[in-house]
Amino acid sequence: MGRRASTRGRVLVAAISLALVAVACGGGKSTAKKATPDGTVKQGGVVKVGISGAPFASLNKFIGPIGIYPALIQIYPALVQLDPKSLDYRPDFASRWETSADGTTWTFHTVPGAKWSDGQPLTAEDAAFTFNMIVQFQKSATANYAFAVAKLQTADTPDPNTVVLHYGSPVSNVLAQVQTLGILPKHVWEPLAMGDGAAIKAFPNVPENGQPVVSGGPFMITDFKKDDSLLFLRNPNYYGQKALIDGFGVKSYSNQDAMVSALKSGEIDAISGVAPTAVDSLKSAGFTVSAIPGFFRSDLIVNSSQNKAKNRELLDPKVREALEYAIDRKEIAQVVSLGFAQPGDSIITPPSGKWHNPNLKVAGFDVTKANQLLDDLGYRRGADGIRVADGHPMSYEVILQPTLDRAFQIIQAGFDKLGVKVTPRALDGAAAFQAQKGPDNKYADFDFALSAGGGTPQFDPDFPLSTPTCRVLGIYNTTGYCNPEYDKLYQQQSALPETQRLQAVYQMEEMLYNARPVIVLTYNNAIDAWSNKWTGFVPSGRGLFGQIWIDTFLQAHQS
Amino acid sequence: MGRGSGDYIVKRVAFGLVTVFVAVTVNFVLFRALPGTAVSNLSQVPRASPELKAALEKEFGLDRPKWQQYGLYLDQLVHGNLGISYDNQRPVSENLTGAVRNTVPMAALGLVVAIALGILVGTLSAWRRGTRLEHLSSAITVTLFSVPAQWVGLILLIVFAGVLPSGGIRSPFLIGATSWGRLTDEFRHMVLPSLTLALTLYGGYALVVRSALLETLGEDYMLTARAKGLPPRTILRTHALRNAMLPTITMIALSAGRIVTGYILVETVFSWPGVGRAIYQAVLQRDYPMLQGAFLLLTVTVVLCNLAADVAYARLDPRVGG
Repeated sequence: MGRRASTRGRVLVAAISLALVAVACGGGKSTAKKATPDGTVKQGGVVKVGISGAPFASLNKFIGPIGIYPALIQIYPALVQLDPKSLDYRPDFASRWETSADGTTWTFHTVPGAKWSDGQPLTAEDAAFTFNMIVQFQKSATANYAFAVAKLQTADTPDPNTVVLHYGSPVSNVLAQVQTLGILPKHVWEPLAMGDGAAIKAFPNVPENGQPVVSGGPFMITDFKKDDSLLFLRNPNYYGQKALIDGFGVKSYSNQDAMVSALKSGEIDAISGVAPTAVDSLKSAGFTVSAIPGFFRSDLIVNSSQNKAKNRELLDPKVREALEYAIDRKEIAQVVSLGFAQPGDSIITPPSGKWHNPNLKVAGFDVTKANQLLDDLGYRRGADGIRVADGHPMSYEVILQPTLDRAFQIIQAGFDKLGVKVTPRALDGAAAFQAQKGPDNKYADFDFALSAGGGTPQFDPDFPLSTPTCRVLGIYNTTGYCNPEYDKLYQQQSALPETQRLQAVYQMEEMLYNARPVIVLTYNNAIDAWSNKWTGFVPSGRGLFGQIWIDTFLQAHQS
Repeated sequence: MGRGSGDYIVKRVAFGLVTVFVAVTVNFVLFRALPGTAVSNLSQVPRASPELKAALEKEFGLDRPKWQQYGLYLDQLVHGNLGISYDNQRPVSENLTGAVRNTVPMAALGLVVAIALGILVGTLSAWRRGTRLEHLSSAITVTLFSVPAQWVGLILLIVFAGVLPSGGIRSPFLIGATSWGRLTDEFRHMVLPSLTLALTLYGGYALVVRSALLETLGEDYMLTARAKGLPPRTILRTHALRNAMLPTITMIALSAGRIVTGYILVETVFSWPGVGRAIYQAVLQRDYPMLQGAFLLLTVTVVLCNLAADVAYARLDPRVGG
């Protein structure tokens, strides 16, 4: 009996093992394909996209950082959208708009007859509700969108297809703001917008009981796994041009090698945020690799605060100029990014189109000139080869965020030729900012910081231009730069008509270029890759799963 | 177990409770000693504003004195509330439950295979001491014990590329799949991380079992058993292995805690959204409530596992606990 039972047990174990092996090695389910009558464009299918890092914490737009924003622009309609070709704002949920003579009233006429994915009417009232809710709770629950309702007083709807925005004073970037303000379904969010607004942030906004998140954009989110994956399916009720694909899924990888391996093995179809080191192998494996100018910068931040306690010679523009000449940006671009980066000049990156000041030129690598500048200032070399400034050696600390150690070595080698010694201090993002601003937001202690976090989060230049203002010292001003003249220009540009604003923006870029609170090292490319089974992607300078426009997947289809 | 054992267990439980309380306090202080706060992180994100910083400080209670924050934290704990995560504004208990649910099956599978393999290989090595089999198995065991888990993971990724999924807990692209389809998909995703754990952990068990068994095999009572003419299997199972299990039980008890607390390197290599990655993410975000909750879970789990080991010891060896 015991022996038979034992034999049966072994057979069972063997059967289970075989079943598990079969299951483990089996393939996945393929998606159905269909062709259009003319046979040129194959519609349907689900594009499987891998992204590097960026876990998805929440689908509630009022929570946390902007990591989830690229997902939300696919499901929440906006009055206007950025056009990838013209780099201007085009009609979307608003088919047209007009502005009052004084620039304080904007009237948008919305698409009639639109519906949310659950069949409820999508009207201008949803837009007005969303804007008013954000204004009402901008100091609490909706504070992460306060930037987008600056000076907005109220929104009203004279009829269901018209929304009128009333501003306290003229705002130059209204279209950029309303592109960011995705419209929420009033019937879902209105019950939450009560009291202190706590319910707004407590709302999980996830697909439930097989129902997608109520969506009005080209896609709906039908599945969400925190920190792991998202699934988008085409929204049948979308008021605009329908996507050619059935949908797309996004899977987050914490390991770049695993992501590349998944693409090569056919597990996924496309990857966003490819490391430069993987480009050659992907190309030789026959994948399409797109490397376009990105919105990302790497910077050398120079403490520009007048509170700086030590090494105050670094506040001297001539010293900064000398240091800039000793930085070999081309080598940084070549070595750190394997050529997938370009030397930078302005804090506004080139994909920002007209907002990037074309008159600024990258300072060349010229150690002789750099040495001459420091010699002229009277900073002679000591016995150890280190220059002496105001009685102390020109020896500084560079706060270093991860991934930039190689860039630091190149800068260190350049400064070494100048008789300037720099030593690294590696810190993570939060600790680095704390060290930069100091315990009392005085920016008294740090000399330099290397950062890879710079960049333009959206096409409009307002946010990057705001980073060196006095108003955000201790908040997101990383340099300690505080110049009333610059701040005045910043305030002015936010209210000017576009042509005049452009000149003001150029002037601000030039001021920063000359003052050098940030020495822009490189503009880094956005690198994506996809299988030749798919085509028609419109990647942005923030990658395939970016946040600049909604077009990336709208035109995608099977090859 | 007699009265002595009962007293022993009561003492161990009391000691465990004190440990948990101390850990709770240390966790509170430790994470706040880190430079930078969640607010400084979140208010630096693109398109932030001074309004956002002020709102977040108020919302997270970071505008209050530290002692008030500590009092609030203890009060919440007493009421079974681990707080709200700064990262996604959901209850920490909900976030942790999700992460534990992801980690436990993968880690448990890897650990069970590692323990079984470790005991088997350790026993064979000791029993067949001096043979080629022992030399070969020892060499493999020591090698796998020495190499980092992330390296083994990457090698497995390369070897099984295209055969098994390279990351994540499941495929997000299964549309309209049956329950069985989803189950098999999740199992396929689990194979490589679990295998990595099994391969890198079994060596520890094998070496401990081998060493304990070799010591036991040299005892006089083993000679007596042989002299009595007992079959080798009986000698091994009844006399040798049972006595060699004490150190192995300690190791198993300590490892069991890791089933809940996760393996950060393996979870990172395989993009597994488990407890290890959640802790790492919480450190980067300075998500104090999440960190406090995760470390409380870690502390309680380790204390419970040690308690279980103590109780098992008291049962296996009457000398322990009087």
